[in-house]
Amino acid sequence: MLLELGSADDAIRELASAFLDDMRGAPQTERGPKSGTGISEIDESSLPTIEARYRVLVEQIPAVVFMAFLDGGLSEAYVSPQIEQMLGFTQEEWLDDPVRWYHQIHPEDRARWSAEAAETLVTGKPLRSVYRVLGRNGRIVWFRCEAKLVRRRTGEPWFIHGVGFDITDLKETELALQKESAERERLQKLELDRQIAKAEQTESKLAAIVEHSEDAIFGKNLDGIINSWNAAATRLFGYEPDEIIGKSILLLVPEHLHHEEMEILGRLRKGQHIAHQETQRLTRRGDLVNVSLTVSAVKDAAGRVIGGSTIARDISERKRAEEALRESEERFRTIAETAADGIFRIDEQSRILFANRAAEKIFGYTSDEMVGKDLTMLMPEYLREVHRMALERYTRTGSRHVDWERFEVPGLHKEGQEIALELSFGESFKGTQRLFTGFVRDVTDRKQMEEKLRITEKLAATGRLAATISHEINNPLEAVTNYIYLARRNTSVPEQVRTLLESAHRELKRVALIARQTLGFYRDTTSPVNVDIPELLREIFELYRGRISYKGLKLETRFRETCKVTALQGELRQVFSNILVNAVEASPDNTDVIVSVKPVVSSKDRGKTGVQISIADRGAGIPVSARKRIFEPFYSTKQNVGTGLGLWVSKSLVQKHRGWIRFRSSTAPGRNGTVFSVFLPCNTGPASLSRAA
Amino acid sequence: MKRSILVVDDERSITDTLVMILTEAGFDARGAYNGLDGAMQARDQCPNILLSDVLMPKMDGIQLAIEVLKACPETRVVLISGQAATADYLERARSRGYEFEFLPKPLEPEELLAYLG
Repeated sequence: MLLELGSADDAIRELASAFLDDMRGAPQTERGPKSGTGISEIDESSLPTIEARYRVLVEQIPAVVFMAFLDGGLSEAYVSPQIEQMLGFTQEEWLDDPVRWYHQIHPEDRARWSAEAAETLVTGKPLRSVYRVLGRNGRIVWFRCEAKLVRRRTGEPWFIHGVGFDITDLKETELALQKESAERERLQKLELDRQIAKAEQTESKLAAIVEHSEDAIFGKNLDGIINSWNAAATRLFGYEPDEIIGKSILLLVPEHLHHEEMEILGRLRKGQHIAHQETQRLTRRGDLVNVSLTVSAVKDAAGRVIGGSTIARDISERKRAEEALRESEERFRTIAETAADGIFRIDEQSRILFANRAAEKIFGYTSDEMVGKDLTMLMPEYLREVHRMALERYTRTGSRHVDWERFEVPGLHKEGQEIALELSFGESFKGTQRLFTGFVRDVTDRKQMEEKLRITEKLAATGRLAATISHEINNPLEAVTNYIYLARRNTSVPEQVRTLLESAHRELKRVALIARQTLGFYRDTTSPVNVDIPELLREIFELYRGRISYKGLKLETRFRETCKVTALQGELRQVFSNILVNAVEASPDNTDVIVSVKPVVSSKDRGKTGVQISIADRGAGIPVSARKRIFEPFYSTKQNVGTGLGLWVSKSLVQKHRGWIRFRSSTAPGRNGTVFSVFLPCNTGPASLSRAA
Repeated sequence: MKRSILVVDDERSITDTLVMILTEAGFDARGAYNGLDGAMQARDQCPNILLSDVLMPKMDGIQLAIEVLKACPETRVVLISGQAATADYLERARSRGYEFEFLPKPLEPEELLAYLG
């Protein structure tokens, strides 16, 4: 490497060159560029002066100036004294041997120098060469010489002259730098090698991990061609590495999922990561296997995605377990939903986890309204604390306070009423969670039926009793009635006595009626007749005349012309007697009782014409709580009077006649009172009875 | 001509008083204190009307009526009783094709006389 010298040296060179030209006496201008080929003429007379001046200059400059003739080879004619400083040879010693300079060129550089010199001689171009020269003590000096060729007028090469610089320092610096650079390179390479070795080591470690992994791991390029395949992949898919490497990944993908694989490749190209995607793949045998895929992008040193690495985990077992659980849940749900009993699931905190359809029906809430809430929402207020304590005690100690097999407890319907429930509880575990499953049956109906049965039995018993009493009373009653009749008609009886007997007769009629009302509930099986309702009513009024006047009641009748009702007279009598008795008993002293009879078109029975009989009193009114129940058997608002059967009997008798019985009542002060109304259709008697011809 | 009426009731006082009442009213009235007796009397002489209690021991009013009607098909049968259970007896009779008239106890003599016509 030739170093470029600084400008100072260039100046010297030029000066020397110009000096020489001057020595030759050649005008500069004719020559062209000064550092060019020096074809010149020499004026030999001026030679001594020029030489002297040249010598002075030359001996000053810090370079070696030399001159060598070219005739018959190259022999040095002049060398400046700096040669001694540079190489340790005096001028005389140096010039002693005209070709000493050639011998002092480092053997390794001679060939090169020679070639460069020859070129100069041939082409006339300046010689520029850097080479080593050996100093006296063997010291190597790096020499840079620049020499020009001077030709005679005739054009023959005459001599060369030039300048040479000791560039050893520079060269050494250069070499040092080179060495340093080389060393650095070496170290860098060493480091690189070390890193490569390390990477290779890591790679082989990773390779080992991959190879021994339980999960199938394989790599593919961006075109989906498989380029690596671990042992687990072989196990999972059934392909040996040499059977699958180089082939498309689609071999592993069932046809209906090809689009999915394409999508994965697409995302890979964007450098995206696919984590735990559950899907299916195909084994060598053609079986579908459930897998969870994690795919990572593989990048080159520049960060470009060159492929993907897939980890595929066989999740068949897990899927089977999930499926089994799902099926089990499904079965439970099916059973639960179709069950006729309500089914609940609650956790340890009494939170409802599940409620089936039957439960919805029982309590009136939807499943959504119940799930997540506390079970106590379905219990009456007074039971909630008890439940909480019991549940807490059970979870803590395991002791129960009721028989979980079956126990009765009231529940609370959404609409606020209590319902009778029969419950049974079971306990189960779901993992670590303790669950309770409850089966609920609404036994309200059953309870009501039990109640009805009780009443029916009571009725039956009463009926039997009444039948017996009735029989017992009726006979003597009949006899007495007959006797009094006979006595009344006996002509020998004095007038006073007859009057008394008349009274006796009347009282007896009352007795008879009362007996009929309370003890009879006979079914009047005489033939239906056309009954004149007002007439019938008047007969009844007769019977109660005494009671009515005793209480100072004013009986007001409002009778209008109506059709006749075909009916069993006795039964109608019983109905109106019952109602009138109630009205009379309810009326405070000195109030009105209004009885009205009018023709109507029944609003209830689609235009049936008939008779409406109303009996109104100014009594206290029927309390609201009693209103639903007054037609029930054995229900009575009158203590110890009557059997509570009057209205029940009346209702069934009226209904038997295809009519209806209703009441309006008010307990509000100032407007208190009750009106009972009976509707009987015209001329249509009970169809169950007919007179055989 | 007087109408004949046979009164049958196991309560003697009822039978006796009814016979008296009916006689006074112009009937040819006789009485019997049980069904068997009544049946015999009826066979001897068919009454126009048979007035009988239903619930009697040995032979109840239904059975009596059927017996009497066998011998006396023209006889009008009027049964009396104070019992609700009677209805069952009458249903039974009806189911066998007999339609009997019925009056409830206690009878008002005036009602009875009006009823018998």
